[in-house]
Amino acid sequence: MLENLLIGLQEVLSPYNLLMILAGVSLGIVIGVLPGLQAASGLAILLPLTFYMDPIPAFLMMVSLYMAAEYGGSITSIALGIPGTPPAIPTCWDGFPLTQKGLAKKALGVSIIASSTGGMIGAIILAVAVVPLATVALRFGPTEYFAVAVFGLSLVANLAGKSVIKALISVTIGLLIVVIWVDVFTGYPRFTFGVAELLEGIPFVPALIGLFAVSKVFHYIEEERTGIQKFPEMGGSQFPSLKEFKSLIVSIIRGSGIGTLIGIIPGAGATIASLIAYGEEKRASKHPEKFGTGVLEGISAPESANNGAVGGALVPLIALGIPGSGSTAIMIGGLMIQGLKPGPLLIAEQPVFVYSILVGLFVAAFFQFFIGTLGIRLWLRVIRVRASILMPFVLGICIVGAYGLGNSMFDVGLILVFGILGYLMEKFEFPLAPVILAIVLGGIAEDNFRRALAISGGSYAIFFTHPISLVLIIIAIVSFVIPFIRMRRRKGASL
Amino acid sequence: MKKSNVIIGVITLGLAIFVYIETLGFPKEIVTPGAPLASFFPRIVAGLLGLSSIPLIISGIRAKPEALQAIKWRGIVKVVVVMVLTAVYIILMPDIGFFILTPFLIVPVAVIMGERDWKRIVAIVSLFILMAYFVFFKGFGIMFPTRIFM
Repeated sequence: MLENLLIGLQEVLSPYNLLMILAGVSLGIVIGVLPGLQAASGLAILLPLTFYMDPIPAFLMMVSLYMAAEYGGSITSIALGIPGTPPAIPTCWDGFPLTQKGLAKKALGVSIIASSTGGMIGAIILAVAVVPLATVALRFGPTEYFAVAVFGLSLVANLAGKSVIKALISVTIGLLIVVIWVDVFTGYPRFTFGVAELLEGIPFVPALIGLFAVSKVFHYIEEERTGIQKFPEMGGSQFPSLKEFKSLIVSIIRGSGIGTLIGIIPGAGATIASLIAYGEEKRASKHPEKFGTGVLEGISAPESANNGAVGGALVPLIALGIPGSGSTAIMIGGLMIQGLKPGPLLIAEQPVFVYSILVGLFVAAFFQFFIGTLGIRLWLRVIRVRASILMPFVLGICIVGAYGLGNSMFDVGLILVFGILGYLMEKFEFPLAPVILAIVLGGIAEDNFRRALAISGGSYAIFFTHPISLVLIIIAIVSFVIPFIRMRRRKGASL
Repeated sequence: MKKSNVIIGVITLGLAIFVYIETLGFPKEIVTPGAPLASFFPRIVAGLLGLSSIPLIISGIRAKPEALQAIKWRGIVKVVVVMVLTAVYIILMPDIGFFILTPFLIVPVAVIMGERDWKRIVAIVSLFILMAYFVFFKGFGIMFPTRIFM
């Protein structure tokens, strides 16, 4: 393996390949910054270009873009409180409060450190354990997927904010959104009320844009914030102090590990990874009550997780030929265009290609760190733009981003509907995070719950006889209960 | 009493009942043996919503009277106007076209937000249109509705 890694390193360090990584990282950051556009959009654009390129530089550019887009989403999360990509949602919760405290520079610094470290750790895990991890991922069936979804949903108590009841209502609203579509088992249209566009369900990204970006525009309008946002002076270093960094190391390692592991599971992806990493970080923290008010761990955990998930997502792609997400499906297309067959034989037949990609992912994380660091000053300028100019622009970008997802005006309508819903929910102090958690995980939970019962002939024992599922369900129960016990202990916490 | 919690609780309870009633019309034939019916999950969710609504209503009734806060009607009216403008924009866009109609959304929103410098407004509209054209239309190949022109 070491020999292959050295050959891969030699390949990656050629000027042309380094240039491709640089291009991929730069484009990825820009795509991540724009709400609505995700890594998959950028990869789809690159795909026709790769046809004219050799396999290694083509794929290096694609993985670099994929990774950097996950980081790019955190920039608007921190600067404006608007997530650029779904995996950057949890970054908003502490990133924007830090900006309001005048610590945007440090928040962006922590984000780039955590993202790049997460990317590197993901690449290392990928290089060391690609084959055994892929074997574990193959053992995931409906029961395990259901258990993962339940585990994710159990984090609702960690994301509750002031009121657990309101968080539960938020999560059920998210689950209600998920049940709107054609039932896959019977073909019966549930809650579609004759609207053809609803037969495929409510798409996630317009819902996200509406809930988190359009609602934010409405809040700015209501509060009549017109001029330059009056945040405290943004002085100081962009990087955390040595003491702060030491306190973040565990969070970054934990986030990267969670991200890589979740990323390996096909269909799970960076959004679930970052939500779970945030929830776990809050659960493990000695001061969970400070989460949401602007703590650095609230940035480092989700950011390391969503970049770690990139390395994880490449495991089933390279080792098994299974695309775990839209982005990796496009990358499989890229491999096939190059005449390569993703799957178990790829490592044996194309070791130079595979190890070049693994090393390239590591190098891309380095490039991301330097480009991201250089960009911090630029992103800080965005905060200084007058709200009366910035917010109409953001609204326009939201509309274009939503429309671009499927060239559909229905998606644009959805961002308005979800924008109004998000605005009203925040106004009446209902947390938005559980809605997103439910939208992401609800469908996975229902589908796999029913599939598992179909396999077992209706026996619920199937969820407790599969070891991975059993462990995850136990962790889910513990994860759900612990915040309640903590709340009981802390007098004054309201139901 | 905290009126907002009571009202929202009643609305969500009503929603839960509505969802449950809707599921009564779902197919009852077993297509896949062992797998729960299409109504199973929505009913669980409706139940959870209903169960969560009741404590919200009760806590709302029990809560001490809220200190009357001055409602910022001006801000709320502005939000409603922007919501209506956006809805009209969405309805008209397929017939009028993205590039023609978009300035008629961005300019009023900027003005509603208090922007009075026309140079800045023209600059932001131009920048947005150029970005939409070169990045999204040309770059990403997004086919905007272009009914009247182009």
